[in-house]
Amino acid sequence: MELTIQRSDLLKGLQRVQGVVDSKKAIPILSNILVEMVEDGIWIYATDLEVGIKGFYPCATKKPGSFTVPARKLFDLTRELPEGTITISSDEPGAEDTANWLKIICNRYESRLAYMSAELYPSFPSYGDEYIVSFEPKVLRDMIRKTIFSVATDETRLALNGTLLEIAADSVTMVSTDTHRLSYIQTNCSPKSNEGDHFILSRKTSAELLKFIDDGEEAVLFSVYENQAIFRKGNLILVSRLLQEGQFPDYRGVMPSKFEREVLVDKEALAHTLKRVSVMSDERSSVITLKLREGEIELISQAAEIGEAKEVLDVKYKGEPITIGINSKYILDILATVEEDKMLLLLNGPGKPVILTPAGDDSSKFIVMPIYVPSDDSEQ
Amino acid sequence: MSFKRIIGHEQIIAMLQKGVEGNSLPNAYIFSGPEGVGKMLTALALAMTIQCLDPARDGCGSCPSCLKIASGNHPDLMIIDKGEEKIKIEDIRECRAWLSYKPYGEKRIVIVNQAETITTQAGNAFLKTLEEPPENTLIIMVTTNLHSLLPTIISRCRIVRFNRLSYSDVENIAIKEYNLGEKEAAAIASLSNGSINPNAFAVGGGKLAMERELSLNLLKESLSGNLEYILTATAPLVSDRGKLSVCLDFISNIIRDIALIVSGESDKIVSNRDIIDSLSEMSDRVSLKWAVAAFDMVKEAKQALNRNANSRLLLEELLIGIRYAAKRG
Repeated sequence: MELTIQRSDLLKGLQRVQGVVDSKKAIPILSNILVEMVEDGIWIYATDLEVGIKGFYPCATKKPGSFTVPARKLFDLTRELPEGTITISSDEPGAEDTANWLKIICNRYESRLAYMSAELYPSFPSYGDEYIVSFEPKVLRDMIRKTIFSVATDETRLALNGTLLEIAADSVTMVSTDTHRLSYIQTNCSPKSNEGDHFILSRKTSAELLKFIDDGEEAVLFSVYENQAIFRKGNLILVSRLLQEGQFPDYRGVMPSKFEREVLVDKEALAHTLKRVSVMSDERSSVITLKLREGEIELISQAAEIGEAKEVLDVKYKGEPITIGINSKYILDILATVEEDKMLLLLNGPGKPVILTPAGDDSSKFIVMPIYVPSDDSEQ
Repeated sequence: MSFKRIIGHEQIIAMLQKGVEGNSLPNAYIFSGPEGVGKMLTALALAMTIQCLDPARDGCGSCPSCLKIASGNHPDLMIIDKGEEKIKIEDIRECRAWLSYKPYGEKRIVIVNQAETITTQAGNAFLKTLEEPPENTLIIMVTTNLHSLLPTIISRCRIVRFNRLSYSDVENIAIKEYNLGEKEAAAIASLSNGSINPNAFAVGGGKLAMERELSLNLLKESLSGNLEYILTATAPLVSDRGKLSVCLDFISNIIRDIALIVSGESDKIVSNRDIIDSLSEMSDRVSLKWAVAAFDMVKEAKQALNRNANSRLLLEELLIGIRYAAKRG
C-alpha cells in the first residue's frame, strides 16, 4: 500500500470526520478512521454508529488497500505538517512485533504508526444511485435550522429525540417537538418515493448535516437504504442510522386550524424587546407575560428578588385583549431562524397553543404552549 | 469463539443452536450458574453465531463479523460489564438510547454481565425494554446469583441454568486452553469444584501436581503412623501458608474421594481419578466414620489457618488427629 496526497486534502478529509469520531465509547475502534484506497484517490470514513461521514480525496495510489488508524493521531500529525505532499505506505513488520505499521513521510519528517485491519471497522452501509429527494442546499439548511432547536433531549421518549422527515406526493415536511413546542416546515418538491413514508433523523444527524451542507454548492441527494438514511453531495456521503420510528406523536392534531386573534409584528423589534424584557424574568422558566391590546402588545417580566421590566410594542391587531404567559427563550429560538421581517402571531383563548409563522409564508409554523400566569383584571 | 470450542454444556448449546437455526430465540435470556463455568463464553458464542456472515452460521471465528466480536468492535453488540461496580440507571439509559436506533446489520445483541449487580432503579428502568425489546434484539443477562435479580426481570426472561463442569471437562479445558500437562490438569481439576478460575490456572499450574502428591503422602503416612515422615515433610508447608492452604484443600478433597470409594459410589464422581489406585488402597484401611471425622478436622484446620493459627502446630495436630481417628475405627 502506498499513497501520496496533498497535505491540505488530507487535512480537509480528517477535519470533516472529526465530529463523528468517538473517543470514549465502549467500542474502541470507533476512535479510528477507515481509509480505503482506490485507483485514483482515497475514501476517508468515520462513524460513531449514529452518523457516518465518508469523503473522497484524489491522490496517487500504488497497490490499493485499506487500513484503520486512530483519527486523533493522524489529525494532530497532519495539522502540524508543513504544506506539501505526504506519503503514507505500509511498512515491513519488525522481526518481533505482530503489529502492522504505516510509514508517514513528509519532507524530512518520518514516523511510524500502527494500523489495524480494515475488517475490524464497521462496514459502510450499502447504497445505490437512486434517491428520494434532491434538496437545494439552501432549502435543506433552512429546514434543519428551523427544526433542530426544538428536538427533545428527554431520555425517556426516544422518538422525540429526532426530527421527523415526512414524504408526501409533492412535498417534504420536517417536524420536531419536545412537547412544549413544535416546529414544522414544509417544502414543495417532487419526491420519488411512496407518499406517507416517514423517517426520524437523530439530532446529531441534523447537526452534522448543517456542516455537511455548507461544504460546497451541489444538491444534496437524500435516500434510505435498509436502516440508514443516506445524504450524498458530490463526493461526500453522510449516513445516519434511523431511530426506531412509530412513536412520533400525531403533530397534526395539535396544530389548530382556526384562530380568534391574529397579530402582525415586526420581527426585529419583537426580538430586541424580548431580550430586553426577559433579562428580569425567572431564570429557569424564562416566563414573560404578554398583554395584547388593540394596536399594541405589552411585554412584562417579573422575578422575585431579581427585578421586573416592561415594554410596549406597536403591533397590528384588532380584537379582544388577552393576557398569556410564554417562555421567552422559545420565541427567541424561533425568531433566530426566520429570515422574513414580519411575523404573524396566531392565538386562541388563554391556555391554548400559540402559533408563530413568518408573515406571508405558511410553509413554516412554530407552536409554543403558553405558561399559566395569573391574569390581572384591573387592566381590562 | 464458536460453540464448537466450548467444552461442556452440550444440552444448552444444542438448544441455543436450534433456536438460532429455527429463528426461535426469545427476546431475553438469563444465563444463570456458578462462577467460571462458561456462561459469558456461551453468550459471546451465541452472539457470534447469530452475527456470523458464514452461511453455515456457526460462528466461524474468521469472517469480519466474528473478528469484530472477538476484538470487542462489533457495532451490533453491546456488552454491559461494570466489573466491580454496580450497573446503574445511566448504564441502562445508555443501552436504551443505543437500542433506539435501528440495528446496523440485521440483529443486535445486548449482553449484561454480572446482572446481579444491577440496582433496583436500573432494573426497573430495564423492565420495559425486556418486556418489549425493539425488533431483532436479543438481550442476555448473565448472572451467578439468579435470585438477587428482581422477580419482574426474571419473569420476563427465559432462564438457562448452567451446571458445574464435570472433572473431565475441567481437565480438558486445562489441557486445551491453558496448555497444562495431564498430571497438572488432573490436579487442578480435582480442586476446581467444576469451575474455571483463570488466575489459578495460569499461576497455579505447574506446581499443583506436586502439592497434591505431597498431600496424598501426608495422609497416607499419617494413617500408617509414620511420625518421622510427617515431621520432615511438613517443613516446607510450615513456612508457606499459601501452599499449606492448597494442601489442606487437596487433603479434604482426597478424604472426600476416599469416602466415596468406601461407600461404593461410582468412580465417575471421584475427583482424583488419575490416582484412584492409591485412593482405593487407603480406603481399605478406613471407615466412612473416619472420613467424616477427618473431613471435619481439615475444615477446622482451614478455619484456624484463616484465623492466623500457628501453622506447624495446626498441621501436626491435624495429621495426628487423623491417625487417632483411624485407630478408633
